Amino acid sequence: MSTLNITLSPLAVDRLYEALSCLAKFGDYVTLEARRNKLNLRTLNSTHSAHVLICVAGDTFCDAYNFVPDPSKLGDSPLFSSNGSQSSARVEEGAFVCKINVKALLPVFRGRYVQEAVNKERDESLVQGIEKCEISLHERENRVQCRLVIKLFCRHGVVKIFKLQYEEADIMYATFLKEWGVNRWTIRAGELKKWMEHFGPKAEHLDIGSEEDRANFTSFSEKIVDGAQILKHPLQTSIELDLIEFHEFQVARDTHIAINVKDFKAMVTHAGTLDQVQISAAYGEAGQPMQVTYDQNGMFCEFTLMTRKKGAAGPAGAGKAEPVAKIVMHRGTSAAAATSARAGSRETSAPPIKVQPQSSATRKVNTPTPGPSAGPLPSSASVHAAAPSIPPTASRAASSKSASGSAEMPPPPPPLRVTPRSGSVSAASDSSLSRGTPASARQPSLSLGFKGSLQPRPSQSLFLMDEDDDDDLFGPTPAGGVDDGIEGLLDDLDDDDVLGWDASLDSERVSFVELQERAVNADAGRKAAPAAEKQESEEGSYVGPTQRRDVVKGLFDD
Amino acid sequence: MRFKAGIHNISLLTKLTGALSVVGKAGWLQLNDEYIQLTVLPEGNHSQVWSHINIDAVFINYKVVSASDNIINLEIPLDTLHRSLKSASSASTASIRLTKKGTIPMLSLTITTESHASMNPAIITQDIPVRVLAPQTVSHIHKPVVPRPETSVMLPTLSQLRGITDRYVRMVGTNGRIVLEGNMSGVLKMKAEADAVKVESEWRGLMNPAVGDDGEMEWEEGEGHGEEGEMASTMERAAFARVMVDSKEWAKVVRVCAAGKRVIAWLCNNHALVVYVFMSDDGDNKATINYYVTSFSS
Repeated sequence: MSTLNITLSPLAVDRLYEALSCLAKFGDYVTLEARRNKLNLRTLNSTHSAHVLICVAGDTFCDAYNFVPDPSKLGDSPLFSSNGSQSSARVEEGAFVCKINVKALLPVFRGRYVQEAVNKERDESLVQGIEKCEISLHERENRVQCRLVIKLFCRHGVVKIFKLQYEEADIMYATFLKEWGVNRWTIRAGELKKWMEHFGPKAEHLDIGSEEDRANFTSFSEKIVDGAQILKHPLQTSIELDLIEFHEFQVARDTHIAINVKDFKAMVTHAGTLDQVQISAAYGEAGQPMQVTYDQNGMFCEFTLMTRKKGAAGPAGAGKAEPVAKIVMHRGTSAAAATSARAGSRETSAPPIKVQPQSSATRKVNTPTPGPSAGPLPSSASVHAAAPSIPPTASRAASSKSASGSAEMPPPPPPLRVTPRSGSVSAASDSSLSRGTPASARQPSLSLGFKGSLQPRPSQSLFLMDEDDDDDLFGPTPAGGVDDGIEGLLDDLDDDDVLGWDASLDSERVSFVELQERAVNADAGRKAAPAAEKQESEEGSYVGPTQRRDVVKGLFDD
Repeated sequence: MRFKAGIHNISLLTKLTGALSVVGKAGWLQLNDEYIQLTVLPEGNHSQVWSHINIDAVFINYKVVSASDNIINLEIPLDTLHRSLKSASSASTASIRLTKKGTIPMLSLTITTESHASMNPAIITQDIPVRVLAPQTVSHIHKPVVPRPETSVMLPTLSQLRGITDRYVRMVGTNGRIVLEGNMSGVLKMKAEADAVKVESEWRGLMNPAVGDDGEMEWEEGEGHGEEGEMASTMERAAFARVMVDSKEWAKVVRVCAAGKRVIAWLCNNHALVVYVFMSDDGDNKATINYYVTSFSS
């Protein structure tokens, strides 16, 4: 039985509440993952386009933190015990994982921190105030009685006890490769929050770009409206900031990414509750995820938001190629996740999410065997590895060097451990496929700096207005205008693929929190991994794509 | 069709749009060489709100050009316009122009603000979707013509009036009726009758501005009312004019009034209530709102 005991000060409870209410804006459930020295709170939104990880450190955030893993799960046959329901995540470190409805957690922590009131006799909010909070896990062999118990010690010796049910859960985490973060900026949270307040409540998407010495945040909507509906079109807001506002700003020229305004606002609002915190954002091209991190006093927050290109996957693109859905197939290890994400992929792009395998089927993680020997792949697998099993169209065969690579040639050299099951498709090859441009110049192993500044994007004629305001002449009814608009959207689609994933898989997955963790606890728990590796290679058979071995190691080792 | 102007009095424009967005979702904005006119015609046809702002009260470098006598008619979403103006509250400069993005005509509000970190200003652009109305679409809309009111009275302190009104509305419900009575001796009464209660508030010593001095108002000339104003007998002065209005409508009237510096209510006995709100700080009629409410017959 795992043991978990946490003691929190009232102030920490308040910060935990802020964190949970931020998580609640993304998903209905929060996944708690208790480790030896920290507690991870995660959530994934319903379209799998945003993943939030908030990590509270056992030592700096909590007054007391004690987690003892379940010894029975720490055994020496760690990864794949006979019990198929054990998730490898749990086994590896004995981390305790469960999920709880956020709405059940929120009221427990709401308003518990009360600053010293002027008039203690009369201030009613003092009733809510607590002196300390204890969280403990009551895990029993008899599963019926498992509860997360939260005790609030109030004034005058009153103790409020909440017993919350939890469910077993998989760990889901977002993949973010270091090389995706070619563009980065850092800004004070309060400053960014102030600017974000200008965006209306109905704003849909946010385009982030920069030109010369100014950064630009622009909201846009892709709903096509006409007639009386025009007035319901959301307010379109654009904010242009001098780069001096940023602590750091390194963005490749003409890089534009688009994300969901609500997600971004939720994040900025939470960051704004922390005093003077700096928000760091890192991202690559549109279609690769964006990672935003900030931390303060033992709370580390990491948001992975899927980005996309403005105009792509909009309603006008309905009849076009659907790279979004394709990528979802690649990414999702669980069929359900893939399906649901695909369903939502019109609106939001594919998730940068992988699900830690738990079922016996997905447990058959494959060895990192190179492509050709891997056998038939699901058609959703990565493009360059999957080439033999997918009847290649003429253009593909001709144009995509990497696609033919695994069939007749050795795999592309730089990603030394190209693993088909990793299910990633390279940004370069994928986008070149759909555009039909020769891919020879754009191997998946392109150097990062190059990638970042690779494609100068054409001006988005739909949204960027002409400079000369005196020429805005038009009549009451824009007759041919609608067609032009659609045309513009289509052009956009043709221009570049929506989603591009980098195949350079051997590069290290960089998670802000993981880095923290490694720094804290660098030496522990290296034993399990080699055994796992061996075990895994015996399993041989091929299943849907999942994460890479070394990624797993990086994640769960301490 | 062109429109562009700098805005030098953002707070006035913000107050106006805020007040009007209480009344309705969409408004008709008419731009011409001398003034802008923002009109809201709520559903139900019981009321109309007409506001009128002289160009120089709000704008500088105002330029409007169109094929039909330099008049541009737009339908605008009031809450969106109000919201975008709010983000100009700390602006150093703001300007507005009519433009077109994609297929949608927009009123584009450009705001520059100085930020703390640098002297280099940030530029905020708010694009409000609008619909351009053809002249014939609005040609049939006219200000209502009401008879010369029997009573003209300056409304009491607006915060107080608002508090009391809110209580009345709660008492009679949203579809209740509120009766207003006023006379030329500075008395205004507000009455409500609900199932179990009957309430009445009375203000005394209010000012009675002379009717008809205002050039903006057009009164339907009735019989008997000439230049005899100050000669009116005590009896005439004490006679009450009475209107009965929908409680929800009255609550809106009071909220709109709260945006103004000075408010005159005209009561046309059993016919209509007209509220005249002076928006500008000087209390002059460079920026005004006229709120017309029909009276229910009792």
